[in-house]
Amino acid sequence: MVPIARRMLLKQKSKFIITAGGIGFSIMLIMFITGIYDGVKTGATGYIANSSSQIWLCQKNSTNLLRSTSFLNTMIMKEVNNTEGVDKVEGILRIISTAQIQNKLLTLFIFGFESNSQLGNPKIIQGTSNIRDGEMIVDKSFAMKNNLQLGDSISIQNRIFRIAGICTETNAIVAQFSFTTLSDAQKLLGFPEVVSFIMVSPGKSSDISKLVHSLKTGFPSLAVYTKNEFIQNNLEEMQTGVLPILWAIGILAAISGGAVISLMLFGSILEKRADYAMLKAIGTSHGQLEMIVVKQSIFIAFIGYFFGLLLYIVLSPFIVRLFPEINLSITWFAAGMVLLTSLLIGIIGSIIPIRKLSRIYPAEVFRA
Amino acid sequence: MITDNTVSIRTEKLLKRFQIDSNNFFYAVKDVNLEIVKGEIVLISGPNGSGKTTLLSMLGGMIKPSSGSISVLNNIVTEMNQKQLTLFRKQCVGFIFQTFRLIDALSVIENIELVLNLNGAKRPESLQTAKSLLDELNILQKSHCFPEVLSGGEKQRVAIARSLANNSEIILADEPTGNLDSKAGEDTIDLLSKIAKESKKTVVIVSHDSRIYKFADRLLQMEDGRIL
Repeated sequence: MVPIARRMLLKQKSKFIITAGGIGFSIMLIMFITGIYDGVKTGATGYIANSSSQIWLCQKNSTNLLRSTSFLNTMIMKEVNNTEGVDKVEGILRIISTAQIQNKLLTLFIFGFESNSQLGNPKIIQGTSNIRDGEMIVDKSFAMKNNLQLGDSISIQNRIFRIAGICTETNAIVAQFSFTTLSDAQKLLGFPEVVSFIMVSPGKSSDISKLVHSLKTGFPSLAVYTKNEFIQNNLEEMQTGVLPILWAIGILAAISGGAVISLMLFGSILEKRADYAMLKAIGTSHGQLEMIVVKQSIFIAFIGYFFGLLLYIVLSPFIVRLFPEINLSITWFAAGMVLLTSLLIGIIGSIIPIRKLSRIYPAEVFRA
Repeated sequence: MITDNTVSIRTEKLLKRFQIDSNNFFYAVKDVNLEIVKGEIVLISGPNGSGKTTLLSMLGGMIKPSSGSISVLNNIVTEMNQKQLTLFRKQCVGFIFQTFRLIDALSVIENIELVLNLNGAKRPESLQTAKSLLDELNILQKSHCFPEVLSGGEKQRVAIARSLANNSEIILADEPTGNLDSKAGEDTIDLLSKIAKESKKTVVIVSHDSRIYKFADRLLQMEDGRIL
C-alpha cells in the first residue's frame, strides 16, 4: 500500500515538527514523573535494600522507617539475640531534629546506628561509614543542595557534628536521611537505652520464615517484618503521599499530549478536506480512512516519544543539579511503559479527528 | 429496442431535492429518465446550476436521490447501503474532476497506485500497472514528480490514468477541461475519447465547454434540473 498516511503527515513539515515537539514535551514530563517515581522507590527503600539485615523489628503498629513511631528498650535487643537462629542484632534510632546549616534551619531525619555496624550503615560514596561520636553522614542530594562537603559542620541542638561521610540511595524526596552514631542519636533524643528498629541477621543455616515465626511468637508486642515486607511497607507509605500527585501531573501531561495530537490532526483534516472527500469518492472505506488518521496519530506519538526521551536524557543532569533533592532514576521497564503510554495517547488523540472524518462526504470533491 | 445487456446506465424518474427551509425545497434534478449504452460518450451540457454535477454525483453513488432509480451495469445503485456504495465507487466507476484532485503528498505514480492498492493490487504488480497506464497517457517520464510541479494538462492526464486504474467500465468526468487552456483541454478530451473508444468504456462528461461536443456520441442539454 502506498504510504499515504505518513506522506500526508510529512507534507505539512512545520506542523508535524511543532506537534511532535509538543508531544515530546508531554512525554518528557511523563518521563520526569516516572523518573521521580522510580527515584522515590529507590530512595525510600534503598537504605533497607542495601542493609544486610534480613528481619526488621519495631513497635507494634509501626510499619515503616519514615512515618511511624517506634521506641524500644535496648534490653529487647539482647533477648532477640538469644533467639535460636539469630546471628547478629543491631539497633537503629530514628529521630527528627532541627539543624542549623550556614544560618539556615533545616529539619533532619537522623538515624543513629552502632559504630562498626555491619547492618545499619548506609551506602557510602565519599568518606567513611565507620563514624565516631560527633561525626555524621549526610545524603548526597542533601549535601549538594546545602553545599556541604566532607569536614563541614552541622549544628544540632547546640552540638556540632562534622561530616565524615556522604551516602547515596537515602533520598526519599520528602526527606533525606542523615546518620550519626547510636549514642549521639540517643543523646539528641534525651533517652539513652532506646532504639527505634531492631535489625536481625540470621545464621547461615537458619530458615528466615521459621525465624520470623519464632520472633513473632517470642515477642508478641513487637512487629516483625522480613526485609521484603519492610521494603514494601516503606514503598506503600511513600506511594500514598507522593503517587497521587505524580499520577495527577502524569495524567495532565498525557491529556495535553493527546490534545496536541488531536488539534493537529483535526486541523489537518479540515485543511485536507477535499483530499479526504476525493479518497471517499474513489472508494476508500471509512475504516481505511480511520486507519490513515490512526497511523498518523501513532506516528506522531512515536516520534514525540523519542524527542521526549532525548529531552529527558539531555535535561535530567541539569534538573538534578538545579533541584538536588529530586532523585531521577528510570528503568528500561518504565521507559517501555512510557512508550506504550505515548502510543495510547496517539490512539486516543485520533478519536475526535476520526469523528470529523465521518462528516466529510464524497460529493464534496466537486466543490471548487 | 435496447436490451439490459447493452445499457450501461439507466435512470428512471430521478429526482433530487434539497430542503431550503421548513416549507421550501430546491429541486436540483427533476424527473430525469436516461439510458446510456455501453461504450457511448455522452456529454451533459447546460448552464451553471442546471443540475449537471448533482446528476453526475448520483450516477457515481456519491449522493442518494430523493426519489427514482439508478441502475449502473445492472446494479441498482439506489438500493445500495453506504458500504455497497463505497464498493461500487471503488470497482465500477472511474472519476475525473475539474480541479484534478490529485493527492499533493503522493508522487504521480503513487496517485495511480493508490487506486490499484484500494482494489487489492500489491507491489510490484501495482507499480507495473501504474507505469503502463502512465505510458499509455504519455506521462511516464513524470512518474516520480509530485503534482505541484505538473502543468494543468499533465495533472489531468494523471487524473485520467487514475480513473482508468480500477479498470471500470464507466468514467464520470466533471468539467474535465474547466481548468485547462484550449490546447490542453482539447488534447485531454481527445486522449480520453480515444482511450474510451479503444477500451469500449462508457463516458459521461459534464461540461459547458463547446469544444468537447465533437468528441461526444450524444449531447444532452440540462436546464433547471431537467434534460431537455
